Amino acid sequence: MPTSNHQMEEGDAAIVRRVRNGEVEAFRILVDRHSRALYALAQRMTGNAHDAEDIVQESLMKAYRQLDRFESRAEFGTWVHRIGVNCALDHLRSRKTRDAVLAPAPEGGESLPETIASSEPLPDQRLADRQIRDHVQCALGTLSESERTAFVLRHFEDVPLSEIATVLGINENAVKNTIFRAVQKVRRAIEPVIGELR
Amino acid sequence: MNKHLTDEQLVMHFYGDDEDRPGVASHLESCAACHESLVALSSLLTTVKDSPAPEPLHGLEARVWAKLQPSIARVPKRRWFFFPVRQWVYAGIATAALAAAFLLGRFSPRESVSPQSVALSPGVRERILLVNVADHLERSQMMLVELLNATDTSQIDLPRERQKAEDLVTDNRLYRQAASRDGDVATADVLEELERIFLEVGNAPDKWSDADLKYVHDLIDREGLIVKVRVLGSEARERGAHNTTDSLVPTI
Repeated sequence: MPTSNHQMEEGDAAIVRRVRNGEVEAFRILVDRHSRALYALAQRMTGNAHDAEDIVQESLMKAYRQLDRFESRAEFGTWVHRIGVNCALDHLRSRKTRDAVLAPAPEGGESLPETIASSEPLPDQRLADRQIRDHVQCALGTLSESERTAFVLRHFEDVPLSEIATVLGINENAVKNTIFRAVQKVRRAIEPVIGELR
Repeated sequence: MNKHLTDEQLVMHFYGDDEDRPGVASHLESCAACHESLVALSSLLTTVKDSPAPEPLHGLEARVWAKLQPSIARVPKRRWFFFPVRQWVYAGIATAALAAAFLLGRFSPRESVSPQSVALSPGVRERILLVNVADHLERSQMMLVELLNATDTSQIDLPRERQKAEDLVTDNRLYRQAASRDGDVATADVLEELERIFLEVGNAPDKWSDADLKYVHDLIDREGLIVKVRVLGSEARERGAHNTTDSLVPTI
């Protein structure tokens, strides 16, 4: 979900030019514009708030470092988002190798986030939206790593099957099966909740 | 296509990934039951997709910028050129005693044990973790020394160093997070300093200038990082070697 900048006073491309011309502090504007979208991506992929923030930081650092390689015809948001996907995937690969040693983070997706129990007053629709969001996060937490990766990339990021297959190192039919399993799990988890809320 | 569509076919149709899309579409036009199933599935998946994005803690952008700015802002400044790099090494060594004293308490026993610590304690898992931490710190230290010993960029195999940094940064992050969760601020701080160096090297441009090298030297020299890492590593190894099921709960 790259940030749209159509309505912004100064487009990302102009900011990138300023940074390239030595006005490095202007990069702060890009950080402000794109951090939250990167966070959403990273949080969905990892299910962990700490990891998500680290991935945002790393993605933007990589973007800054590789700014010379960025083609101004492209959307900066799309480009940095792609870097974010790669950072998140690297992170997941590395986490996998450490799972045998480290205990799972407490904010893993197995339990419902605090926001569900929050008593903060909200208009009904916003409350319902937040509850759905929290249950979606919870449902994502029940998926295996490959299911989660495949589902998030296909469902939220519109990444084609062929690319997901490359990322996961499996063939496209296996990706389809993985996505189907993920959808079934998400459906089982979400359907009753939506029924209650709507 | 007389039989009803399977759930899998409906899911693939929703994403536009079905192999026989015209055939499925044709069936959906003539089969009310399958059409209804697709509408229900689409409604659910669209709700999931449109659900609000996960919210970060307040101030995400400021936190991210605070961590990025020192690296980003350094390019036009490069004030560290005016300082002889080796001088920082000696300054670092001079502060080593203070640093060591500062770090000595991090493996101390604690009165209260966090849930994470319980998950890691006691016994073999503790030992494995401590040995892993010690190995990680040793590899980190070796890399820092290699970088520090290079007097110009020709002495550095940058692709290799970059790969090493990328390998180390992910492990380092996990250990740092574990230390933070456990309230071990001192260890987390050292690991954060390490992480910054790994990110610098891991994200280094294809060609490294002498100025870049000097900047990394400065980061390493600052506050005697090598000494801190060495002290941390040797203590972790010692604890790992002597740790028993009734020994102290490790803080990382």
